[in-house]
Order: sequence, then structure tokens, then C-alpha cells
Amino acid sequence: MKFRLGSGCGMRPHGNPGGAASKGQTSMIAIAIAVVMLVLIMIFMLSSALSSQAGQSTRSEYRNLFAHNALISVLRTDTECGILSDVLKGGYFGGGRCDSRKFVESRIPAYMGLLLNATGHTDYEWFLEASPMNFRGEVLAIGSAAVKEAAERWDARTIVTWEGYQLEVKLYFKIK
Amino acid sequence: MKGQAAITEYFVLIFLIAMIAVIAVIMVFGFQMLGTGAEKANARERNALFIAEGILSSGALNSPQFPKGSVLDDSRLTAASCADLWSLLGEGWHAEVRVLRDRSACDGVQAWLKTKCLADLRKAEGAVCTDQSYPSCSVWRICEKKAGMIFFSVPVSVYRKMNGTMDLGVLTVGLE
Repeated sequence: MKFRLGSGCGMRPHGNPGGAASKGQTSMIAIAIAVVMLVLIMIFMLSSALSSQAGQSTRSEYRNLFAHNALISVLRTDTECGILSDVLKGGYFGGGRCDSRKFVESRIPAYMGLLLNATGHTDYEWFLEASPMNFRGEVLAIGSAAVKEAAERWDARTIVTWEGYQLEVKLYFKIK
Repeated sequence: MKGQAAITEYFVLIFLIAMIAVIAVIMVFGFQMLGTGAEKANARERNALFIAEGILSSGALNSPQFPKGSVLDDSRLTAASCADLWSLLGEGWHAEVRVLRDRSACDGVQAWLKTKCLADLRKAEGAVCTDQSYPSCSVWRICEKKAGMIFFSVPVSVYRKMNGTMDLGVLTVGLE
């Protein structure tokens, strides 16, 4: 500190003794502002996460409904060879008025194409698999098999039964 | 001079703090509005899905022969009244059911009948069902469609009462 004689009352120290306090005040204010901004950002991120979670559950519910309805509607459809689920049965046990396996393998992709176009879901990829549950028979697979192993897939399942025999039919979807 | 500098420094500090407070308030309101907007969109999607599920299980539109739901009876669809359905499921929605026609359905038909088959298919395609056009129609519209609606589409089966067959269709629900 420098001292000098002045016209005032005695010697007064030169310098800025209030400077350190002022700097301390400024730092405190800067820290308080940083904390407030951090809290606001965290509130924003939390509310974004919560609303996206709510949206996801509706999307998941819709996709499950879509998959279930697609599977049962396609299997229930009447064709020139009979109801599609009956034609599918014919592929394992014979009978019916058409070459069942070939008919199913051509008709199911046609119906799935119609459904996906009409519902605006051309970004969906699908795979259908029919597996005998309590009798011996080949697994019927139609569509893109990679869909079954996809991480973000969803699916629907139904059991087609006749005379005690059960065939499990599963329809998988994923986004392309 | 020093006193003046200190006062100026405080004024600048107060001004900065006030600016930051105003920005913080604007950010909080902005986040709230974004959050409210996202919640509103989620709520509309949930409502549209609820109405779709309601239609799929409603005794007013479903075929009594298929109590598990998701089979819409074409005669009930033709007779459906917007006012009655709004009183059941709430107001402010529109629904359209459209039967999907597969042209390959005419492939198995005898050659001399194929032209008629394709012509019948074309005639019924896109024809809106009324008391006059039923059953040679394939589109049912319930309640008024308005601009700005959000839409959900799901596959359904449509039971054609006149010939006892099941067609593949799509139900599209729009909500204001």
C-alpha cells in the first residue's frame, strides 16, 4: 500500500480496498447464475424425457394393435380357395381346392402389401411364421427373416386349431 | 471518481442480473409451452387410439357372430349414425372403413368370367356405401372429416352380410 499526504484528514491508503470484496461478490453472483441455469436445463431435459416416454407408450400400444389386427384379419379373409386359415391348414393336412402352400405363399404377401399401403406404413417390414405345436410338420416362413431377429421389433401371435391340432402363427414387424 | 466507478459497476451488475433473470423467465415459459404442446399431441394420439379400440369392440358396429371384436358388419356400418356413435364414444372424431380389393381374386375365375369379375371389382372400389349403393360398395364414412385431424389406421375384417364372406379392410380414425 502506498501512502501520500493529501488535503484531507490525515493519510489515507491508496489502492482499492473494496476491490477484493467486489470481486468476491461478482464471483458469488456468477456461481448463483450458473446454478440457476443448470437447474433450468435439468428441468427442461426431465420434462422432455417424460413427454417422450408418454408418446412411446401410445406408439407401442398402437403397434401391438396393428400387428394383432393385421394377423387375425389376414387369416380370416375369404379367398377363392376358402378362408385363408383353412387354406393354411390344407398346406399341412391336404384337402381344399387349391395348391395350399403355393396359394398362401403368394396371397399373404399380396394382402400385407395392400394393408401397409392403405395404412401408410410402407416403412414397416414384416415376417410371418407358422409352426406346428403338437404335430410334425414344416415351419412355413414368409417375408423377411431378418425381422424376427431385429432388436426393435414387435409381433403378434395366434393359434389356429382344428381337430386337436394346433398351429402357432406369428407375425413380426420392424421399421425398415 | 472511485465512488462513481463503484456505483457504475453495481449498476452494470444489476443490469446484467436483471437481463439474465428475464432470459431465465422466458426460457421457463418456453419450456412450459413446449411441454404443454407435446402433452397435447400425446393426449390426442391416446384419444384417437381409444376411439379406434372403441369402434373395434363396439356392439353397434361389430358383427355379433364374431364376439371377440375387430370384425365390422357391413350392414351396421351402412346404418351407422354419427350422433349415436358420438354419444357412445365421445365427440369430435371421424372414421372411415375401406375394404381392400385384391385383383388377384379374379385370377382363379374362369376366363370368360374374368372380365366381369374385374369390372365388378373396379365398380365397387372406392364406392361410398349408402342405403342406395349397398352392398356394391366398399367405403363407409362416419361423421365429418375436418382439416387438422390426426389419423390412425388399423387393419380390420369386414363381414359382408349379403354373401356371408369376410373381406380385408382398414379402419382409419381421425380426431380433431
